[in-house]
This record gives sequence, structure tokens and C-alpha cells, in this order.
Amino acid sequence: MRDTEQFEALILKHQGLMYKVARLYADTPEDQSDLYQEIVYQLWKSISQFKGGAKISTWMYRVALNTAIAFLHQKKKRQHTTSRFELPEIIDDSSLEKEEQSKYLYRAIKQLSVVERGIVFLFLEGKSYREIATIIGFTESNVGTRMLRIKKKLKELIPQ
Amino acid sequence: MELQDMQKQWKAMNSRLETMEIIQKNQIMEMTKKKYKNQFKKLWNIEFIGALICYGVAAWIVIDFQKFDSPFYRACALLTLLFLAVLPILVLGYISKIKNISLSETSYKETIKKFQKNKNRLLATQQFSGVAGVLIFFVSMPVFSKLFGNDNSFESLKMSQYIFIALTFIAVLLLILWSVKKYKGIMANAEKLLQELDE
Repeated sequence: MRDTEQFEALILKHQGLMYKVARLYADTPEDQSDLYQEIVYQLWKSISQFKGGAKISTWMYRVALNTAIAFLHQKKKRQHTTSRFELPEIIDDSSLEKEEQSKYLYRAIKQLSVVERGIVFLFLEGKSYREIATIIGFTESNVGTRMLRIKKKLKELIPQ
Repeated sequence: MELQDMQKQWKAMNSRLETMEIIQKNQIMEMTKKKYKNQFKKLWNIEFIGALICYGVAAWIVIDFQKFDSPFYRACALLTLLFLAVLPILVLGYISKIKNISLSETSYKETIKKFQKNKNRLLATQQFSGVAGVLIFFVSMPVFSKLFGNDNSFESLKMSQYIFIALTFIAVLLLILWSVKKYKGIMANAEKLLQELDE
């Protein structure tokens, strides 16, 4: 698939996925916006390699998370793109308090290691251990063991 | 914080996200095209420019090789040439490997591993080049002395020039010691991450 219309529809449908990865792996609004754009670009670049064996959303999670890793490694060398695109904050009618909650949530997950961050993100997205294992590359039982450790770590890191 | 509490908050955040327009349809291809163009600009990074300078100087040494009229000068010229020719290949090779890691076909675990391993190799090469740089600093002095046509300047240095060379050497040495210390810290973190992947 490299049809522009189809690609745009896919991005619009999954725009939240990229937003969450950008906020989880980059700190400043400029970096988050850069990472968001980089993920869109990587998806466009590699969509022709999608073989259809897995769900397209599973493949998108993989590309988005891998792009985030590449982004972290290139951090020192990076120059911001000059695009006018900016990521919005999630604010609705009810909502300064909710936005604060979101920020707190992202901060909490960012305290985990990069490996744990990927696992817990997919877990929060409602993925099964099997799907997490497929995207991350561990065995299903290894994901289970790591989840137990992450639960314990979160309790220690972020007391109620 | 309990994971269940996080899950509840995450779900609430997801439903707020669904009502939002993060990106507009017309922005998608616009940003994609812009990123595509930027890929070509990135080619001119500092390492690439450094490599061009190295090869330029190496070509100059090769062209004027007849100026090195004794075995001592020829040996210095060959060592300098070796350094100028090999190092950019190693550095650009690792950078190219890092750039070519497939982000769509490897798992998250493999991606982290590949990035970390290539970064470690690149750092090791850069460390080596720093240490070798001190040696080359001395080896290349007679070479450049000949290239600039100052046949006797290397043999008849004044006291102030010796002091300048000694101070430069100390400054380079301090820079290397500082970077080695920093390198050890980075490598320790890298090791920790790789260990975590294999647990």
C-alpha cells in the first residue's frame, strides 16, 4: 500500500498512537512534535514493506516504538525541523485537572527504563502479553515476568 | 502507584484523545515530503565534512609525496596517510550502519540492541582516534613542515615554539582524559541496558 489517500486515512485513524509515543519518548514540545513527524515519515517510508501477516496496528506500534528508540539515539545531533506543526495538549471543557493527571501519568512512565517503558505502554494500550511479545521481541512468559517487576517498581517509584 | 489506577487514567485520557484532532489531513503529506527532503540535508553532517577534509589532506600528501626526501619523513607521511584514510571509513561505516537499521522489520528489543551495539563501536572508534590523535599530532608535524615548504623549520624550532607544542600536547591529553572518563560512564549505562534486555 503506498496510496496517498489510504495512507492519510490510516494516519488519521491512528493519530492518537503516535501522539502517545511522542509524549512518552520526548520531553520538550519541539522534540515531541519532531518525533511525531518522524514516526509519520517512517510509516510512509516503510508501508510498502508491510506484508499483512499481522494487524496493521501491531505493525504501526512496532514502527512507532522503533522510531522513538532511533530518536533517542540521535538526540544530541538533532536539529528541529522547521515545520509549523505543533502537538496540542489534551484539554477539554472539564479539564485543567485532567491534563495535570495526563502529565503525571507520562512523567510516571518516563521514570521506567526504555525497555520497561515500551512494555508498560503496550499494556496500557490494552495489548495482550502475546501481542506485547510480538512487538517487543521477548517471549510471552518473559513479558509476564517483566510486568510483575514493573508493577513492583511503579509502586516504589510513585507512591500514592 | 498501582498499575490498575494507571490503566483507568490511561483509558480516560484515550477517550479524550479520540475527540481531538491532532493532525489535519493536508498536513500528513506536507510533513512527509519535508522530512524526505531533510534526509538529504542530513548527509552533510559533521562526520561527513570531517571525512572530506581528511581525504583532501591525504590527497595533498600523496600528490606532494616526492617532497618527503628521507626515510624518516616518508615514514611520518605514511603513518599520517594511514590515519587520515582509515579513520573516516570506520566512523562513517558505523554511522551508516546505525542509519540503515530497519525500523519496520525488527522488534523493539532488537532495535535497542542494534543501536546500542553500533553506538558502542562508534564511541570506541572515536576514543581510539582521540588517543591516536596525540601520536599523529607529533608524527604529522614534520609532514606539514615539508608540505608547506619550510624545509628547515622542523629542525630549527625556537624555544617559544617548543613551549607552544608542549602546551598543546598537554591540552590534548587533558581533553582525552576527560573524554575517556565520560566514555566509561556512557559505556556503563549501555552495558546496563544490554544486560536488562538479556535478563
